[in-house]
Amino acid sequence: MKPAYASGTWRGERFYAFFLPLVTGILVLGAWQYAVKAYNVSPVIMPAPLDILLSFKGIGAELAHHAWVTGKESLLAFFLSCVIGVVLAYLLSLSDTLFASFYPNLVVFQIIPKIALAPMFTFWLGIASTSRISYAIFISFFPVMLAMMSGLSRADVNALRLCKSIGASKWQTLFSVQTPYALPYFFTGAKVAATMSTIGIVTGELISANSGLGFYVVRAQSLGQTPKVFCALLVLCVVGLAVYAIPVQAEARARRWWRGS
Amino acid sequence: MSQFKSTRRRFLQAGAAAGAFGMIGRPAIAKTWNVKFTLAWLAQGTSLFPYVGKQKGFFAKRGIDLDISRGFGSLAAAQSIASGQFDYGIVISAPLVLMVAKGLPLKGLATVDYDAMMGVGVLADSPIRTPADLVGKKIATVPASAESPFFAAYAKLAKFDASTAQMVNVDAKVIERTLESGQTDAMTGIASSSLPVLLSSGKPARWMLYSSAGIPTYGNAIVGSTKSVESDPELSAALVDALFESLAFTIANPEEAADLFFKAVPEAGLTAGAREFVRIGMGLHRVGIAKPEAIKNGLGYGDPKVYDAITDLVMSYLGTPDMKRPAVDDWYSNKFAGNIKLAPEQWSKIDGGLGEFRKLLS
Repeated sequence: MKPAYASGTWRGERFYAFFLPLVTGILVLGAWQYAVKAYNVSPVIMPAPLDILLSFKGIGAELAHHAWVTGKESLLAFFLSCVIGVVLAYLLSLSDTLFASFYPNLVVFQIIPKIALAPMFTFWLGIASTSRISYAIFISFFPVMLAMMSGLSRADVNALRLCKSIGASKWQTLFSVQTPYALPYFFTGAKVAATMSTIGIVTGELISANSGLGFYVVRAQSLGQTPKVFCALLVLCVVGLAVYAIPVQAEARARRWWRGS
Repeated sequence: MSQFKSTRRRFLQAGAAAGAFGMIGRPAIAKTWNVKFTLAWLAQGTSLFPYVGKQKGFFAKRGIDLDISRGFGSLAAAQSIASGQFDYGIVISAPLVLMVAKGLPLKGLATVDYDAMMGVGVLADSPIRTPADLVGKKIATVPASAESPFFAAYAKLAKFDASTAQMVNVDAKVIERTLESGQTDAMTGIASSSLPVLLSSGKPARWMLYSSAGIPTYGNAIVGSTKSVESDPELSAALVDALFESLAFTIANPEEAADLFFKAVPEAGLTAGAREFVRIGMGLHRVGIAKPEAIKNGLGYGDPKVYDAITDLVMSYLGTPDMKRPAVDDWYSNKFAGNIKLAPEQWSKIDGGLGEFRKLLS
């Protein structure tokens, strides 16, 4: 049986994809607004949604500056995470020795609660952007590597046999057969990396920064300006979505290219 | 061996006897308060006295079952008290004034210490000797820390241009390490929190206090939500007395107090240098307590004029259009403070042990 949201009609799909989440969101915001006003909660403790909206007045340019700093570093961290993740995936897929040597260690490495290591990056790499970007890469490259490795190993067995029979080199097989099969997996990992890299940069900004949305949040908190904290968090959502849109768009283009359309 | 025979008469006699015993011999049930109390930060030298008092039974004898929690900064502590997560707690005076000016329903019940020890810290061998030497230097600061916004006020009073200093915003978890590792030349911070970290890890350091430049910076205050204080003044009085009996014992018997603290919070003693960390923090705390206000009026007394000056400072440097300057009488009272006093000879003894700590401050 088809789920209710897959009714197949335009109206049915729009209802479930757009109307229902919108109405739910509005109801939640309405309840939030009502509760804060009805119980006379101080905006320092919990601002109402309308108070948050009004707080945007006059801070747009400032927030845009901090968003640009966070977005720029997130993008760089995301891009480098993808490069590092893909290169490592190729290396570990090509060599059994490298795989045996590094893969178990990388898994153990990933089990470490990485948030605990965030301050260490400041000790190791200083208080400039290098430490924030390195930390973001540190938490982001693994999903890309893992997904890519998984994809490389899922190539069609018959296609691989064909490559072998026609004498294709290991590199030719890797780039012409295994890589296209791995692309959907890569994009899954890249989407995770996109969110992780933004989180990594903001975590780094909470620890050491002179600008960026993480810094803005800390400063607003220190002045008891809770509505501005929420403003920054909303902008951060937009920045996160913008970074996330990159692998989503890239995947759509790759699919179109793969289908030849 | 006698055998007990149950008869109706015996049953009634036993019932009457039990009833009479109940009326005559039943002890009065003492009033017990369960109090949720938050510190401003982690338990350390300046804030261990509630644990000491709990171990000594100072709260229990007043009918208070005190549940102490660590804090996450004075602002967060003030917010969680105002929102009812905690009944009472410890908050540094300047953030307390800020939160009151923002309209949070808070009451200051007593003053724990008379110098928040806000200031600028440097390593002992640093060429920075006076505030003027900070010109052009890289200074780490934690934006959320109480002293950070007042660096400009310090610069103004110490007559140097704050804009010439290169401020670096860092988290509280790393600030001392940035100084130790030479990534920064100086740091702003609370001396009684940061000096113990540096000194107990073998990094000699010293502090230039904002108060030396004339900035009024009372330290911790005992704070309750307006609701808690107004609904049960008897509890507020008992709690303040118990806290300051704890503080009196702690400052008069620092070694025994430290032992009791480690007994109450064993995890605080797990790290190397933990005992030294606590000893230095307690020493600096005593420097901030042994002031005329407490010696003359009893522990907990806070001068409203100083709070007035702190309010001016907060409104000047942190004021926003949504804030209203609060009158001190509306949110602070010495009504419950000053009941616990130390004898002159006790103060003399305390003062005699402070030289080691005073020389770290300028």
